[in-house]
Amino acid sequence: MKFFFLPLILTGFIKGHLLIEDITLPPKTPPEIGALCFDELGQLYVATRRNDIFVTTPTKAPDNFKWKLFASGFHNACGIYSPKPGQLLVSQMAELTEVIDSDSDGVADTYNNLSNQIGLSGNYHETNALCPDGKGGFFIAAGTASHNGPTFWNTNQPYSATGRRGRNFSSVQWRGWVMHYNPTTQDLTPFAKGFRMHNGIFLDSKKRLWCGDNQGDFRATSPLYLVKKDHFYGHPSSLVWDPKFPKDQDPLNLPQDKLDQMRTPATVLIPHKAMNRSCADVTEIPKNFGIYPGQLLVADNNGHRITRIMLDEVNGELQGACTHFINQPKEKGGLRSGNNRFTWSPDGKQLYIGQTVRGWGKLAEGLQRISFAGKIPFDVETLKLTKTGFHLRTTLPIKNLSQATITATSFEYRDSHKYGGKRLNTKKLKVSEITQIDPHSFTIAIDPLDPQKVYSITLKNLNSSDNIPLFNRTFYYTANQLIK
Amino acid sequence: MNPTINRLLAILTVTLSISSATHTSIDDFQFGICGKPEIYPTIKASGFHYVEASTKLLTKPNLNDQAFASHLKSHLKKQYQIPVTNSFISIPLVGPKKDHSSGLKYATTVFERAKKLGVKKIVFGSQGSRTPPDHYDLQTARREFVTFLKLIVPEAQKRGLVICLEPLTKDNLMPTLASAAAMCEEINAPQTLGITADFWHMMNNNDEADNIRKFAKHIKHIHLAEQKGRTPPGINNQDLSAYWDALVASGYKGLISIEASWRSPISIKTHHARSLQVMKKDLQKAIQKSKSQTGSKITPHPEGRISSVTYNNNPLGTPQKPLILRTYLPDPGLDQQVLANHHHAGPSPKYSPAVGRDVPGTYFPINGIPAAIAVNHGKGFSYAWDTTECRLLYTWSDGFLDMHPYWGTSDQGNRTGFGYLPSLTGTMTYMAKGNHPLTLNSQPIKSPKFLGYSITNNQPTFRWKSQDTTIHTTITPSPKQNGKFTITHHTENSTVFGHANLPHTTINHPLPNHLSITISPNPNLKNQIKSTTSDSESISIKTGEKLFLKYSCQMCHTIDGGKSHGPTLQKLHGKKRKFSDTTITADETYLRESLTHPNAKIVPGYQPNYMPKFPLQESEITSLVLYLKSL
Repeated sequence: MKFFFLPLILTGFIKGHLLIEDITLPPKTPPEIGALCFDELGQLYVATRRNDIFVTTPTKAPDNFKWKLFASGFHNACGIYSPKPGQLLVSQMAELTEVIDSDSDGVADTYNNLSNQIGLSGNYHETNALCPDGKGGFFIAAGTASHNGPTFWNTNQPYSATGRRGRNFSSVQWRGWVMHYNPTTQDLTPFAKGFRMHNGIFLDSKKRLWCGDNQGDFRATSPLYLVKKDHFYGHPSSLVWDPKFPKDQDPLNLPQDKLDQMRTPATVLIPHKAMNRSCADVTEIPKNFGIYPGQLLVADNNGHRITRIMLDEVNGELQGACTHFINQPKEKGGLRSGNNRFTWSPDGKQLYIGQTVRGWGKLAEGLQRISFAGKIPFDVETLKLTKTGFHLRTTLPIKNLSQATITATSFEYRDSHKYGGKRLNTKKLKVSEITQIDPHSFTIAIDPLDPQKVYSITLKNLNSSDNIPLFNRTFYYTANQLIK
Repeated sequence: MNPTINRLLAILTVTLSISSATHTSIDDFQFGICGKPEIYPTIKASGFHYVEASTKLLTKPNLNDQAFASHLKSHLKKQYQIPVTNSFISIPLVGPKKDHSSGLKYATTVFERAKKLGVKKIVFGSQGSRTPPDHYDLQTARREFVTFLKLIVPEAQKRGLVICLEPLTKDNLMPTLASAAAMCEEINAPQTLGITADFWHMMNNNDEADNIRKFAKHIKHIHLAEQKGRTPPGINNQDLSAYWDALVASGYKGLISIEASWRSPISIKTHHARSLQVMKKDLQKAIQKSKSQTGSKITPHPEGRISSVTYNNNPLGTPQKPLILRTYLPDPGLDQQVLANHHHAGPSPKYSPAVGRDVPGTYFPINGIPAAIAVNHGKGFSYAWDTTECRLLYTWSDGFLDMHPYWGTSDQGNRTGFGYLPSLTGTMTYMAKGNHPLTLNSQPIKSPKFLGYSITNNQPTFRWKSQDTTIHTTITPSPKQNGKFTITHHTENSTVFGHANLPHTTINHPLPNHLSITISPNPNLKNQIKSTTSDSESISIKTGEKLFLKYSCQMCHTIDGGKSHGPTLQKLHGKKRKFSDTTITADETYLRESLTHPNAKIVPGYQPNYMPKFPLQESEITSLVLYLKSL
C-alpha cells in the first residue's frame, strides 16, 4: 500500500484493521478543532476554536492538503454544516450564522444571523452543536454553563436567577435544550430538554436524532440519548425555561425519584473510564466503510477512544450495548485524546475526526483520518437481549466456543446532583446454556436477568476459525427493559 | 570625563532610543555584573561591558569636596565602565523616623558626584530606607515615599540621571512591577524615573514575567539571577526563558546586570564567563522566537494560506484587511442605557453539588459583553460593535486585545482564571453613552435586530433592523488621525435619520436616509483602559490594598474618616447607610455593587455620576472587597 511510504509519525494501524493518519493543518493555526463538515463537492471545512473556518480538498497524502481560509469571525464555532457549496451553517457562541460566498471567489463575504435566541450569559461553557434535520432545517444542542466560570452582569437573552444555581447551570434561555430551526418560518423552537452537555448532535440514516452527554451532575456516567420531541433527559436546570414548568419552583429542589420518573432514560449507558469519559460527537458508519455498517460511534473528548454502539430493539424501544471501536493512543498508532467532531468523506470510506481539549487535560488537538485497512477484526458485531440472556453475533466464524470463558456481572448507575456516580449493586451472574447457533453466533443464559441494569459480559479464549483472538473482551449492555 | 565611558554612554543612549519596531539583536544589550569596580578588567576580558557598583562606595558622599576630587581623579584613571550603581540610600524615608531633608541633601550629593563619575543610572532598591515599622499604615508610607521621590526626581533630572525603582523580595511598599509602575505614573517623569526589573525578585514575588512586557515603557534596567540560591545564570541551569521572552517582547534594549550571590564554590573569577555565555544564548533564543512571532504579526490575515489568528495572543488586522474577531469582550464601564437591550444577571448563592444545596458565599457576575464583534484595523484603530444593541460600543487606539486570559498559552490553551475576559490594550478613544443615538423618522431605536454583516473590499458593513427598516452601518477610521473615525448609516427606503448631538462629533446628513458622523478621540477617556493586574494574583486584603492604590481610590475616599470627594471608607462594612428613600446595611453586596455599579446608590451630599466604573476583574473585586472590609 502506498501509505507505507509516508513518514511513520503520520500513520498508524489498529492491528491491520484500521489505518489512522494525521492530517497536517494550515501553518501557524492553533489546531483546536471545533467542527467539521464536507460539502457536495467533496471540500472539507474545518472550524477552529479561535476564529476561522478553513477549506480544503483532501488528498491521499495526509500531509499535503492545500488549505484556504474560507471565513473568519466565529466565536468558538462547535457546529457546522454545508447545505450546498459556498454556503455554511455555523453554530457559534452567540448565534446560528449562515455564511455565504456570494461571488463564488472561494471566500465568504456574507454573514447572516439566523437566530440569536439561544441566550449567552458570558460563561465559557455555553457552546452549541448543530445537525441538519433532513428537511432543510436544523437541530441545535445548546450546552449549559459551568460553575467554573462566571456569567456577565449583562446577558444576551433573558436571565433566570433560579437557572443560575447548580453546578452546570442554565441561567439564560434554552441552555440545556435541543432546539429546532425552521428556515421557512425562521423560527427557533424548543424540541427537547434536560441535557447537561450534549457536545454533539446527529441525525442517523433512519432519521433518528442522537445526542451524547457528559458524565457529571445528574449523569452518573456518560449516556447516549435517542432524542424525542418534548422529552426530558434528566438534568433539571433547563426546566426553568419550560413554559409548562411551575414558575415558583426551583428544579434543583425536585427529588431525584421525581426526576427519574420524568426523564427518558439513556438508550445506552457508556461506563465511565472503562469505555468513554466525555461523550462528544455521534456518527453512523456508512455502508461503504467496510465494517460495522449502520452502527453508531461516539467520540471520547477525554480519551484516545471511540465507542461503538450496538443497538437492540426491545418491545419497540431502542436500547443496546457498547464496546471500543478504537482504544489506542497516538503513540501506539492510534488516536489523540480530545476527540470532538466526526465527519465522513463523501464516499463514506474515511472518517475525519477533529480533536481539541478545551482547557482541561493534556493538550491533544488536531485532525486525524480513519479508514478500513482491509483486515476484518474478529469482534462481537451485535449483542442482543433474549428472553433468558443474550445473543451474540461475531464478525468472523468462531473456532472454539467450548473452550471460551464467559463471565457476566450486572450493576446500576444512579444519577444525582453529585458529580458522576459509581457502579452500584454489582453482582456476579451465572452464565449457562452457551449454545452455538451458527458459525457466527451463539446465545448465553444469564441468571438473574433483571431490567434497569447494565450487563457487563466478558469473553476470554475465544478465537476465530483462522485463529484471530477477539478484538474486544468486554461488552456493556444497558437493559432498560426485558423482553415482554 | 573618561572618553571611553563617554563613548559607551553614547552607544547606550543611541541604542535605547531606537524604536522597538526594528528587530532586537544581541548587540542591543550590554552585560554587566554587580560587584566591586575592581572586577572590571577580569570580566571585560570575557566580553562583559561594565560593572554595576555600589552607589555609596563609588560616589563617597561622606567625603568633603577635596577628598572626593582626588577619589574621582584616581577612579577615572582606571577606566572602569560603571554606567549604573545600586545600594543608593540608608536614611529612613518613611515612617515616624523619616528624614526627607537629610535624604534630599544626601541624594543631591550622590547625583552630583555620580554624574562626574560617568554614572547614568541609579538603582533605587534600598529596602531599609523605605520599609515602614510594623503596623505602620502602608498607604501613609507610600505617600511619604512618593513625596520623597518628588523631591529627588528634579535633582536627578538636572544631572541627566535616571532613577530605577526596584521592587524587592518581601517588599511591602513596592512588591511588583505594577506597583512601581503606578508610582512612575503618579510622578510622571518618564525620562528620569523608571523601574529595575529584577528577575530574581520577580520570581520570589510571583510577579509574572509577562509584566516586563506589560510595563515596558517604565523598564529602564534589568537585574537577574537564578531563583534557587540566587546563583548567577548557568549555574543551576534554571530556565529563565519566560523572562527573556518578555524582555525581548517589551522592546527593551540596554543594560543587563547579573545581581547574584557568588558564594563558594562559585566565584566571579571562575564562573563569570559561563554566565555570559548562557545569558547570550538564552537571549538569542528569545530573539529568534520573537522574530518568528512578529513575522506573523507584521503580516496578519494575508490572502488564503494561514489563519486570521495564530498562537499570538495579540492578534492584529491591517487598515486594508481588518481583523474581525468574535469573542467575549470587556465592558470598560458602559452605562446601562447603552446596554438597554441586554438582560441582567445578579449575584447567585454558591451551590455545592457535593451536598446538593446552597452553601455560604455568593457568585458575582463580571463585566463583559457577550455578543459583540471586535474589529481591528491595525494598531491605529479598533472598535467593538454589539449585535445585541446594534450599535458601536467603544473604539480604541494603539493596541487591540490581549487574548491570553481567554485563549491561554500555546502549550496549554486554557483560560487563566474565573474572570477570563480578554483585556483591552491601548487607549480608549470613544465610548457610547446614553440611548441609541439614531432616530428613524423621529422615533427612537426600539428592540433592534442584528441581521448580519457583509464584507466589501475586506471591510464589514453591519446590517440591522428597527421599526421594519434595515439599516446598513459602516465604521471607517480616519487615515490621518489616530482614533478619529466616521460611522455611516444608510437605508434603502425613505426613512429619515436623526442623530443625537454629542461631543466630539460632526454630523453630515447629505440625504434623509444617509447619515455620517465623524467622531474625534475623546481625551477624557485616556485613562479608561488601565493595565489590570494579572488574574493569577492571589485574592487577599493585600492585593485589594494594592489595587486601591493602583486606581488611586485614596484620591476621593479617605480611610481614616476624613472628608474628600467621596465618602470615607473607614469602618464602612456593616455600617448603616442612609439614602434619600431607604436605609441599608453596607454589606458585601453593597460594597460590590459600589465597585461594579458605582452610581447605583449615591450617599446624600455627594455628586452622582462622579465615580467611574473601573475595569476590574472578578478576582480584583473580591480582593478590593476584602480590603474594604478590613478598614
